[in-house]
Amino acid sequence: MLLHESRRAARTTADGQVILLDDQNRTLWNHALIAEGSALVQRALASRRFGPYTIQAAIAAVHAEAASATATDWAQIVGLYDVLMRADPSPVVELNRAVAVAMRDGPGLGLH
Amino acid sequence: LIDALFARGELAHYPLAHSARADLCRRLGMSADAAVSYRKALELARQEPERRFIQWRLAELSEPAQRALGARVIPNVRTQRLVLVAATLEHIVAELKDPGRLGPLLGARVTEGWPPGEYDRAAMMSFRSRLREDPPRYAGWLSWYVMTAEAAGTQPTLVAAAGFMGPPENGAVEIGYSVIPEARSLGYATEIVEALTRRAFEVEAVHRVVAETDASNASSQRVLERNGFVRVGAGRETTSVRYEKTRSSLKTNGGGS
Repeated sequence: MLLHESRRAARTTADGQVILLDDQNRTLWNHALIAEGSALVQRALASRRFGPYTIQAAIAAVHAEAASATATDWAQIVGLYDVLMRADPSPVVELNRAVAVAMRDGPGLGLH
Repeated sequence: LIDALFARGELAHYPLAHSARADLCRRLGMSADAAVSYRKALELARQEPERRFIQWRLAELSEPAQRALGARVIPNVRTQRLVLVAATLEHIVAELKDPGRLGPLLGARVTEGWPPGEYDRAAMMSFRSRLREDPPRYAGWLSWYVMTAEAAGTQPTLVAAAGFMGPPENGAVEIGYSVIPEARSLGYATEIVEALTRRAFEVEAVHRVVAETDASNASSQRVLERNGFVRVGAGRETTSVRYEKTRSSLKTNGGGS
């Protein structure tokens, strides 16, 4: 939740229109919240008894820590979705994984 | 991967799945596929910001994709030496990012002098927002790109921005034109005004074509007079004058021009 909240100011325009993650002004993100959220995620992962929510939080942390969409560690995000697919498989998780694969390997591989 | 999900019949009712597929198709240059998926996403999406976003993306797809959707594509207008192309959202979005991107879209050379005169960023942004707001209403009634017609051994060059200030209102449309510095004094403006006026009067609702120019701009006034426009008084601004050409003058002049 901290990690999602960290992006709130950058997520919409002044008149309430959606701005995609790609196009958001990352300097508007709240980096104190990101640091706090990331520390919590790392602690949870270190406990070795984590569930699907921790994995989702870890994915949010990777996004939040990247300086830009292209600088995002997409390989790590694909890996985390692989873990999530084993822990809590669903078509939506599979879709998100496909989008991450497209970012890592190109749009053609996300599609087919 | 996404196509495999759809093949299993999953997520067929999830709008984000369709817009994710559309986005990948768009990035692969598969515009027609992208259009179909954006349309499906739009049918399913319930939230207003999400719907608006999909509509933008749809409107920005290239001309072949628009055609595949059955959208009306405004035909080019030709004169003796020029071709006029109605600006689409795709053109304007590209141009705002980088004027150089217009070249490949139009198949024309974009020179240093672009954009000319009054066709500045503020104008582009206002055209962009109106095209996004209501594409069918504004298509063809805002800016047009004017380039030289293809001739043996020469590449078409973008020479002017011209067009209308909006769709007909009370039977009138207002035209405007701006030629790049290096293409002035060649008589292009006269051809452009002739083409815009002809196109305007093809629409039955148009009874008057209006143009405003600066009182000190003698060459622009000559352009209008040569096209049968008559000075009717002061313009909106203190230094501008207003010219008009009426549909009825077309008949008395035996067709005008």
